[in-house]
Amino acid sequence: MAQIELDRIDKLFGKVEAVVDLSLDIPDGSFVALLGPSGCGKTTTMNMIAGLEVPSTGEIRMNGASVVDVPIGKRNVGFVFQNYAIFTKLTAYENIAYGLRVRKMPAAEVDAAVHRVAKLLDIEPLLGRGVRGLSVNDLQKVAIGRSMIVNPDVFLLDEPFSNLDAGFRAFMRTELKRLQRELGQTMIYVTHDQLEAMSMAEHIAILDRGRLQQWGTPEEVFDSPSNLFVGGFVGSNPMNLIDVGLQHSGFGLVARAVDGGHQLIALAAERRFATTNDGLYKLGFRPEHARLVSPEDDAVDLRGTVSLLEELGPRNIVHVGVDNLSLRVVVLPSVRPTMGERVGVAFERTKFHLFDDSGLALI
Amino acid sequence: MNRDHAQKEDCSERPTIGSEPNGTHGLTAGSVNQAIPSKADQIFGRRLITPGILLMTLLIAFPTVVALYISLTAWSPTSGLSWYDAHESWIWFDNYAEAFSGRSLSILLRTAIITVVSVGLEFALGFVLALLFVEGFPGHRVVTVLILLPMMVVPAVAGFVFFLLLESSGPINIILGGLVPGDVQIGWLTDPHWTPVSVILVDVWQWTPLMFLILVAGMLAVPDDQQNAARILGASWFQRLRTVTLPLLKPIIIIALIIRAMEAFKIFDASWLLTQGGPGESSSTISVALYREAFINARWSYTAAVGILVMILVSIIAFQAVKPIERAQREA
Amino acid sequence: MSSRNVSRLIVCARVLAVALFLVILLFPIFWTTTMAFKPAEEWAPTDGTTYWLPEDWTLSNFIRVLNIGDTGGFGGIIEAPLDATPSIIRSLIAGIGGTLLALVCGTLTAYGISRHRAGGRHHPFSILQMRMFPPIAVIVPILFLWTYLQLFDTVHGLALVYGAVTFPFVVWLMLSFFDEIPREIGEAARVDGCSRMGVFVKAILPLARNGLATTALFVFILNWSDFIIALSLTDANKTAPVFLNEITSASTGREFGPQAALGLILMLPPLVLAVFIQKHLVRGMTFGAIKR
Repeated sequence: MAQIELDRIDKLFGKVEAVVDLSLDIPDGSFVALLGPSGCGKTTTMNMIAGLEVPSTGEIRMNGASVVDVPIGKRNVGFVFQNYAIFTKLTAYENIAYGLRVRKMPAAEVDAAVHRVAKLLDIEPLLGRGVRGLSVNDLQKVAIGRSMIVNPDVFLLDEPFSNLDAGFRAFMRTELKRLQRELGQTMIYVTHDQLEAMSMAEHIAILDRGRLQQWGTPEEVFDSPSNLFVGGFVGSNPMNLIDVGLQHSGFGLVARAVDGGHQLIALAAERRFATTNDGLYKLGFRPEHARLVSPEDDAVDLRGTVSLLEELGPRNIVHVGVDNLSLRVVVLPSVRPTMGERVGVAFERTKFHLFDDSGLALI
Repeated sequence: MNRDHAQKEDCSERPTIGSEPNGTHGLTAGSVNQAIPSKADQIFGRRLITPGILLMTLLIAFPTVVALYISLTAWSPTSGLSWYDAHESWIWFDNYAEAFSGRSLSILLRTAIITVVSVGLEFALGFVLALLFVEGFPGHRVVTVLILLPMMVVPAVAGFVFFLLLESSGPINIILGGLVPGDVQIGWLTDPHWTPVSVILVDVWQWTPLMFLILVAGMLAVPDDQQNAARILGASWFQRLRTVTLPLLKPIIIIALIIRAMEAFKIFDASWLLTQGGPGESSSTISVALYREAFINARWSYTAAVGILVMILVSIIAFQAVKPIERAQREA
Repeated sequence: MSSRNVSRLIVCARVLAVALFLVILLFPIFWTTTMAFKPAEEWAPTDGTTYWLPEDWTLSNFIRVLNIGDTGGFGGIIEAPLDATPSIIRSLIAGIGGTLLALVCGTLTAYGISRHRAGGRHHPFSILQMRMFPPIAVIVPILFLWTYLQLFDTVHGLALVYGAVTFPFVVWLMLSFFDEIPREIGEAARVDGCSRMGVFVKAILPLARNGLATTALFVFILNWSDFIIALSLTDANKTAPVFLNEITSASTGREFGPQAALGLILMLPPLVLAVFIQKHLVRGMTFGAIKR
């Protein structure tokens, strides 16, 4: 059980800034994802929580107490490595028992604990085997079991699913959520897969180039991205982004698409934007939040022609060319416009985003 | 030897499980995962090994047959007979009977002790040095080169240098005298209790660097993640050494020990150059004893008999030694 | 004491321990080097003084041992030139000749074992056994043969023995290199109409080029380092290591300086060659049993 607080952490490797001014407050018992592309600092962050790396500056606190000087191994964290880091010369049993054996726990207690964990993970029949012959899926379970057995205050998982095959990955996602609920432990995992983060975590910290971009629930980061990076990184389909100029008019705020043939888009007046200077902005809306309409419809925002139809089963994605822009719209599978057809695109007035030229979202 | 401990690339793809240290090569590799070769392939294969077999026949098999013949006689270069007429002094197995005397056995025992102690010390020191090294070190590249220097010294030169160093008034006794109270007068080259020690000293000096090199390479290949996993689980440095590092290094250690022992068993240069095996036979190894019999005592038929016995003994030992090497390679 | 101070202390202790190792390991080399530059009075003075560094640096030891000039003599003793040059040349010739012989025979054998299963499963084992034989055990019978063939005390006779002694080493090392070449390469060349020998020469050998070079350098160092074989099989035509240990002077009996100078010279080739084979040092030193 632990609440974890990162207070203005910096981490430098030589001159390379791995993590910059990172502050996070991870509530006790929560399920948190650190999300970001390769090299964003998420693994370094986790290594610092575990004690494998020491922050260059800043504090890490667990339950309010600083742990920067607590040696690794005394922090009571469970760590599941991306490649599992299974002890290859030991059996599955010895792997799981490892944490208790180095604590010199009596053999009978160790044995009971190993069997309890193995039962929970459904790997009892594998216990006596060397890990050489185990499948990747089983190795994953052994790795989880090995870090679970010491009842860590916090669980850290580094890309836990990246090596699993697709079917088992889905299974392990639900398993992990179940385990987390049952154990009630704080669980932090690193992933570059936004879908994985969105579908599992209660809170997501999105990192890019060592800096925290946004901290929030999956809904928050999906619905109100704090900046262009988050908007672009989160979501299965990339957000539609249009360069626009902004102006005020009698109808409220109006955007003029720079690339979209200078079409005017009336933005709802009820949303107030802090800055609306002249200049370039980016208008963004998600393909899920747009619909296809007739070009003559009153609601139409942009007019264009269908350039591509992706049929994905439960939904279709229509690519609409507007001059040299290409917009995506998610539609029902029954909607199948023909290529070259003139269509209108309308997006939900409450779910669009404006970013200024530094990429920050306007609120 | 490259150690990149400056930075780990964050979020980078890591190798998956199974990337292991100590790439070793299968003894029988090439003859394992292979379909039965065709007749023509077999013939070609036989042709390929013909030159090697000829060379071995000329220099090992033929001399061995001659040695066998001579060993059953009392022939010596001073006997006035040509060696092919040696049968005129046929004595059957007298030479072999003499070879099984206590004197030969004590030389064999001494060689074994020198081998075991030398290789054991080399391993222990090499291991300690590798441990000191593997955690990263300022200027470790230069230091590595310096540590490997003794290995590059021609053994005959090493023998000569240690002869100078170990003289009773030589630098080593002087330095020791500076470290402990009183005058140090160890007869490294003259005291029969110390001469075997001197032989061991030279071997350890020359070959500890090899053990170090092998072990440090093996240690650097131990996956960081396994070490870190053990650290996070609370394992102390020593526990990690015992449960993670050593099991992974075991195959390499076995191979290194056996191969080094094979070489140390033949030891000649140090013993001959320091003391010529003496005083008496106090520092005689098998090689030195054989050389003495052949070239000092000119007892060639006896030397031939002992040589054959040594070859039989070595063959038996080598055959036994190959099995653990093979097993270690399969494990690695 | 904070944990950071403790870890700094540990680093210090480690550095000290390595430094101590280093001093011990390097002292004999230091002694050889300084000895090579000491004048005769400083080699091993009878009055008990010890010269840790040469007081009177001199090159005369090198000049005498290589016979490249007149040292002018000193102290009334006329120093005979020692001239180790012929012995060095003999070492080179015997070493290179032995290397070539072992390389040709050993590479063919290794290829036969690796790709054509020649000699059966136990062939590599019996080859390893030969490596364990003390050379002296077969040297006496070789002596008979060499006297008969008039190869005793000749450089080419020595080269032949060197070739035979290092042959097992080449087989083992080359086996490890050949096994790294994918089988498909040979098979593909066969399909393209290459003869079996053609595959070996045109497809496999170029790929094993680095391994071959490494093996050659290793074998040369082995031959260069030999003492016992040359000691047994030569008389007037000594190699350098034997020559070094038999340098004595008629007047004083001691020629430590020139000996040390020659020792330094003998150290050079292995040192230089080691630079080229550093990547494969472990592999070579363990006959290819440990790849790295």
